[in-house]
Amino acid sequence: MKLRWVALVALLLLIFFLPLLAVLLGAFSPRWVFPDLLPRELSFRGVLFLRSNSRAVIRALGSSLRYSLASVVTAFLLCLGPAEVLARYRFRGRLAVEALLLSPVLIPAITWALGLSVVLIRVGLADTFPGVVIVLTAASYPYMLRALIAGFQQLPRDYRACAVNLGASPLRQTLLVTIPMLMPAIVAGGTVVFLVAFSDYFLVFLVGGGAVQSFTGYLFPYLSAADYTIGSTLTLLFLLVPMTLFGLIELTVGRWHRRWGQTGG
Amino acid sequence: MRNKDASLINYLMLVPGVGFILLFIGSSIFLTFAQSFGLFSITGRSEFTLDNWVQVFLARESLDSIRFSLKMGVMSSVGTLLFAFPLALFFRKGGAGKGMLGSLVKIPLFIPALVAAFLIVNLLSFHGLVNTFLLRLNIIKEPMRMLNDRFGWGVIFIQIWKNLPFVLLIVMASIASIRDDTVDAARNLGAGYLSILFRIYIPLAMPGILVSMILMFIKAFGDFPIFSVAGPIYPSSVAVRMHVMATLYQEWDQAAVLGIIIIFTTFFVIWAYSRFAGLVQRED
Repeated sequence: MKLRWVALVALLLLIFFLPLLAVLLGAFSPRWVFPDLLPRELSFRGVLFLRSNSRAVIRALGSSLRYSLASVVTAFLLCLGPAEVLARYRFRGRLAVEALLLSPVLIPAITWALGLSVVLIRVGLADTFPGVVIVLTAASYPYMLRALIAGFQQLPRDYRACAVNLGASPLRQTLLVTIPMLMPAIVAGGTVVFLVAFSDYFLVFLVGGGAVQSFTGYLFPYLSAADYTIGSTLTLLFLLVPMTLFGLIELTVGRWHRRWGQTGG
Repeated sequence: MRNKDASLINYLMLVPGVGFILLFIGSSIFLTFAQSFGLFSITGRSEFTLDNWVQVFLARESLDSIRFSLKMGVMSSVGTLLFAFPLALFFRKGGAGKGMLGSLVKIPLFIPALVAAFLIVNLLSFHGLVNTFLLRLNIIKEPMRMLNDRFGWGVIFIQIWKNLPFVLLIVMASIASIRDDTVDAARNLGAGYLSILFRIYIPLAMPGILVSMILMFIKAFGDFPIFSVAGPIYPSSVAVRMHVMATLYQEWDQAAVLGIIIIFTTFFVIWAYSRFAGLVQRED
């Protein structure tokens, strides 16, 4: 049993960790040539590349961060109302509405993205920042919706009723009761929306058309090029950004919510 | 608590979400549909025609692309399930270190498809680590071609690696809902491991299995980034062909036909799933 357990752990480590380890080693070796099992030399060429191209890298990263965060906010604002209704109310056509709102993940993005790019060309939003935010919000909308629906289903109605009894306006109810209590769901949904938006290449390329920069757009040529060191370095940076962001969220929002839960706001 | 009936205000609360999706996704699909019949054409004269459909179905490249994408969809979903199901059974029983292992298998969930493709490409390429390792161990005499191969093994492998956690989470939830009493009762009645697997675990986890397979099929069938990095030169996937038709050949109307084929295939798979799920439930 113990041997089987060790074999399974080793296999899982090999399957899920080896690709990351290979990139980490590749980023710090001048060249890793066949048939070497490990790189023979250590090199900081990748880091030097980042330093010499820091402006372009920061510009691309900044742009990706901006449209990803804008997509999180837009998706949240567009999901809050429908999520509450779908979680708490009965109405005719509920299933149809839910299917419609979940359709962006049920239908492969490329099929509606080409049509959407034509729509955005016609309304003058192609190659613009709002156009990219629209297409990314549409692509990630169902993830935020599902997270908020689950959040509303967990949320006791009594709290909101208390706020109403104490004379809170609908805006104050939302800002001071609903949103703080929904925070775990908002963070979960926002994380997925951010990941979808930040890691997207095709939709940004199609609608942004090069006018809106993206880190994936910057990364793609290096991934297909023969320079493994640079490709690996940029990949590591790409993985580092969402991880740092999630760490920051956990340290700030997570802590705040736990404290808020203990003290009651 | 029972849900209340929706009021007018509740209907109004739906408007931002429904309006947004209808405006941008609904109109896009409508436009794609219309373009496939020559209407709202952006490159030529707009008039109703079946010519685009005829052109697509007469072109061998398009048919090969559709066939290839179907194959990738089926093989990726079955392949992922073959890995996910035993793992889900393993994780069903709690034990030391399973939390750490659970986190480990979720790594690919946070890795973008494009990067996942790059990570696996480095391992599976002709001069990659897997070939190097196997050569060193004298298991193979010369490097194997595992990427950009005509069959699409490279694409299937990356799809499995990238989507395993996603499928695992769904299947694990299904398996977790199977009561231990049921399994114990079967054991007491003399059922062996295979009997328990095929007559208890698989039938009771079937809804989760079907949902995960259908979502996996949709992902793999309409995939663009993984195929563009690791797919064969010919045939291309239907999504890549659609993109090439639109942006390279400026045949937007024929690209729209391919888009409608992807949408109808997706709907057909969802319909078949709901029929099959209904049959399974009736049998239960």
